[in-house]
Amino acid sequence: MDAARIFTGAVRNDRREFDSLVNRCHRQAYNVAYRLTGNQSDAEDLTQESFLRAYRFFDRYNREMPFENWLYRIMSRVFIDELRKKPRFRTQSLDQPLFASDDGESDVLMEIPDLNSDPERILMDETLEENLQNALTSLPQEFRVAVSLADIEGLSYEEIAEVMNCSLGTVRSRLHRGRKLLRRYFGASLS
Amino acid sequence: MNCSKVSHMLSAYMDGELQGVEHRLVHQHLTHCSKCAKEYSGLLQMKRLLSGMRMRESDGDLAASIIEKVHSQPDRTPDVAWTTINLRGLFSVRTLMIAAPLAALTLMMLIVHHPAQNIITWHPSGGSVSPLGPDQGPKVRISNDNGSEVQSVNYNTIQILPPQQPYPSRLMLFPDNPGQLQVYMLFQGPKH
Repeated sequence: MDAARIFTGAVRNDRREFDSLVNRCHRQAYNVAYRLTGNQSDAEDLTQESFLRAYRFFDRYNREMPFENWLYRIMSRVFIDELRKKPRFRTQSLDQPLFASDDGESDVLMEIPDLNSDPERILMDETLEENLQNALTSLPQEFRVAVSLADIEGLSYEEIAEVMNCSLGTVRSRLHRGRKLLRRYFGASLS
Repeated sequence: MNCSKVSHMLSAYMDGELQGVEHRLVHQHLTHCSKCAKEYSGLLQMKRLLSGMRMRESDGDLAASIIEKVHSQPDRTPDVAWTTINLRGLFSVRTLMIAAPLAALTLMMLIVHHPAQNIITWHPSGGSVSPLGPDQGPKVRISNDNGSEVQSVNYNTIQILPPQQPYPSRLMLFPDNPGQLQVYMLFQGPKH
């Protein structure tokens, strides 16, 4: 049995499978990376780094988990750990109070349209989207990852817990606090 | 249930992640508490806005660029030179008497004490490498996916190298006749 031939075959198979996963998932991955980082250049870096690490550790990928979720697990680690060491992106410490002025109320008020009429039909204009992105980018990283996975990717709490390697209670708490901060960001604009 | 408790549960309620009783209690509370109902409405709107954000697309060909980088990574394989190491010097009787049983025992222990690792597969066919039993010395059976034996051979020494990036664990088999060292990568977990 020729070990070298086994290796070559394995690498070729891995690459073929991985290429098709890149083609299938890169758009979604980039979108999430964009929501986490808030800009194109960092989103591209984060997406590329996540895929590269995924390839490096591809042997450890458990096929029972959707590849996207496994990729988000890597992405959230890169985003939270690496960038904490050298914070290139806009980040916020969990201990640091957000947005609140002395009276505890928000000091940042955003204009947002009246959503009570028909929320489903609201045309998302660029200013509103930019404000939403700014609000998202201002959240502490852990909250931002949880909110993005829940509201942008539509993951369940169980999946988010798996991706973020934390308990369901922690997911619940991060989403609760993250959304509360987002609401405060928009102040009285939301009913 | 008071407003403070309900407030902490609103997010999970909105996501449909509350269990029966909790869900019912929050639902009932919202029907008669305008303050919490208002907070819930705000959360709901925020969720709708976030999920309504447009899909962002990269300007360049991101997939091509990722694939190019992946392909420029070094192969996740040992050097071919590994397979042609001359082992003659290693096979003194004394070395073998000590090293072989120890190595076999290591392999056994790894398999016995780590239930998660009890399926050892090698690429690309997903076959398995398993010891034949403690009484048979350092002997392994290599079988394919359906369990039929591909190769069953005596080896003088078996060595397991722990994962070392970019390589996974490796099983090294030193054959009876000094010649080519055989190296297999070990992949734990379900077959694929």
